[in-house]
Amino acid sequence: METGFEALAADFAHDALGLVSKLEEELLRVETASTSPERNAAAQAARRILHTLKGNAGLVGANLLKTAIHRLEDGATELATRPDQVDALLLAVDVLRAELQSMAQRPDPDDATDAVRALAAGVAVQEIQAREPRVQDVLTVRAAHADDLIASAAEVSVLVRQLQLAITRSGADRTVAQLTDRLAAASRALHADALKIRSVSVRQLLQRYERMARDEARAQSKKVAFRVEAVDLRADKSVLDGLVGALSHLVRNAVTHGLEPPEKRAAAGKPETGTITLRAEPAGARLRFVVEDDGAGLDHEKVRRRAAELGMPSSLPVDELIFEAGFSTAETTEAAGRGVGLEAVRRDVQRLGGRISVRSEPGRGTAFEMIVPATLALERGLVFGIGESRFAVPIAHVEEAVPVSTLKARQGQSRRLFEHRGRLVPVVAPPLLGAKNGDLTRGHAVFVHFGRAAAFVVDHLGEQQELVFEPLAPDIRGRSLVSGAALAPDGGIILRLDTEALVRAAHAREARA
Amino acid sequence: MSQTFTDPSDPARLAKYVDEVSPPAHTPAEPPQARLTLVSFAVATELFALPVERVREVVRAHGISRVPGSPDHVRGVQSLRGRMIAVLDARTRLGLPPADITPASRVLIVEGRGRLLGLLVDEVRQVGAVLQKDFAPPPAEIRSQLTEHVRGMVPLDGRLALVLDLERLLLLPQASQETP
Repeated sequence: METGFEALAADFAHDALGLVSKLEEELLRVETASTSPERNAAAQAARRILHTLKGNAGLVGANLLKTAIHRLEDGATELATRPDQVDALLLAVDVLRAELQSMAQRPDPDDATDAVRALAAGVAVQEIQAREPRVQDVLTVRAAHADDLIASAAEVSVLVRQLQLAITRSGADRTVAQLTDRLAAASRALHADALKIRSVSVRQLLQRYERMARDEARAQSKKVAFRVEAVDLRADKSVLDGLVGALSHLVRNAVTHGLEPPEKRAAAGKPETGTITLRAEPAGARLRFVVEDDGAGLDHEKVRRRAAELGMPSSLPVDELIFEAGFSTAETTEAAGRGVGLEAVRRDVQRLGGRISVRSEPGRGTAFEMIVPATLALERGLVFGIGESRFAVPIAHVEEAVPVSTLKARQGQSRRLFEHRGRLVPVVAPPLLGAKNGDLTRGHAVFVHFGRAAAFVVDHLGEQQELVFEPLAPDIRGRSLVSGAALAPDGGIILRLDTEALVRAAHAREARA
Repeated sequence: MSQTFTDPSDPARLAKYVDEVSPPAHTPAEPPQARLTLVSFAVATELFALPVERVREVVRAHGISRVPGSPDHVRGVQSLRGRMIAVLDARTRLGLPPADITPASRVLIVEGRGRLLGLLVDEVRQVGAVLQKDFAPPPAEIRSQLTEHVRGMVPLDGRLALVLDLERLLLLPQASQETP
């Protein structure tokens, strides 16, 4: 899901809520107007608003909503003279409000509440129960406003940490120290609460895949039962946005490659209907997502054969081979297996700072497990210094950091390489990280992994820190390997390195080594 | 009409100053003349100006962290009360020679296309009101890379100030995200 598009949908929902309120006003004016020109004018205004709403809904791809509003327009042809049409539209106003408020909560604009689905299908609005609760317990909040609040709250907690440090150093009296400790706890709570505003229901997201699994299974004449196991869990919207594609891929994979055709299942003594389970649960401060099927399991022999064809090292275990670039065993189908395969899934997960693994048992099924941070706002990074700048790289991507003096360096054709654990790892050219001299003999080498391994040399190795990074806009970033910046507890700035770009730069042919 | 602006880093002072400089709204003795209040600042040898309402605040150029590999017009990232603000270098953006940051250097916090950006200038000079009718189109003889970003010029404090076109200035060339 593209974020720009999402923002568009959120803007639409926000503006549309205003229009719906106007619509309600106009409808009430139709009812209370004392003269017929006034009544006609209000009726016309109401129809115009409906028309605008319909157009805008179409623009953001909310097609169900668009159809529903089209039906409402059909039933609003004689508003000025027929009070029953006004009544119906007033009921519809509640349905539209509920729809627009929930739109901000779900990733797909072309999804809709049951009421809107019913409207779109031609059910009269009087027969639809406007969704409880009538008193709204859901607020519409602009994503940008939530981001501002989260950033401010994060800043407060960083400043309070600085204050705590300063007070400890100055040896202030106990009351001040105690108050500061309470302030610190309160500011942490504030930050955590602010993050909740941007959180969305995991269950709602997972439920969306049922339809996909069904359609996919039907297209392949397979039978599937779809189960969602998720407690009442919420996660940062930006994390879930980043997982939508990976989950789609894994669910399609489960149907296409995981589940056997019914006759094969019957022959193996299994129920004809296969089961796909989507599970989400907290794993410490992180989230675990599992996509599981009770199909045939990974075909090790087939994977090995394919790996050999592709010239991949035979030493890699099967459950790692399948994530390698260009790997795809089964014949290409409409949806799964477009040649991108699990490599793309792993990249999505890694981009979020997470990890993916697979478990499989022959004849019993396959389970993909993804562990991702519950929020993108706070990220754990390894901090280090190069020259006068401080950087951090997501800890999830770090393999290890070792003194350069313990490594054997090799000069490749266009770049340096380190010998590390029996492999040759390319080194990022120091100027790309702002280092003035290209000295690769001192300091520490940090080994990272993002699809492939790469290393870079740092002057000073720092510690791990939880940081709140703000992204750099593309026109600011340019070709830089830096993707964001965070305020350090001491008030300085820590630049976040984009591991994906870093690895690409290290492997690039024309690396300026 | 104008006077030296003593502490440009203090936004409250800036607002107060604007109040003092702007004519009182309730005494239109003569036919109303459209007035514009400008913040002027030095970049290299040139005097530039921006409408005061386009400048959110003025802060010291302090603790700007360079972003290796970023485009030339980006000076780095600075913290504005905890928010990360990208700072553009007015010199490189206007095609003027780059220079070191001095104690007089200031960052103008401006808003453009929905985001806050900093604009590094050599020195903030003053806030002053000018008359709309004194505006003139940019002279043909100034260098073309400047003209592109200049809306017009206006006499200010005995000099000609070049009034910048902020929208143009903040419309940065998009570089490809691909790393070499």
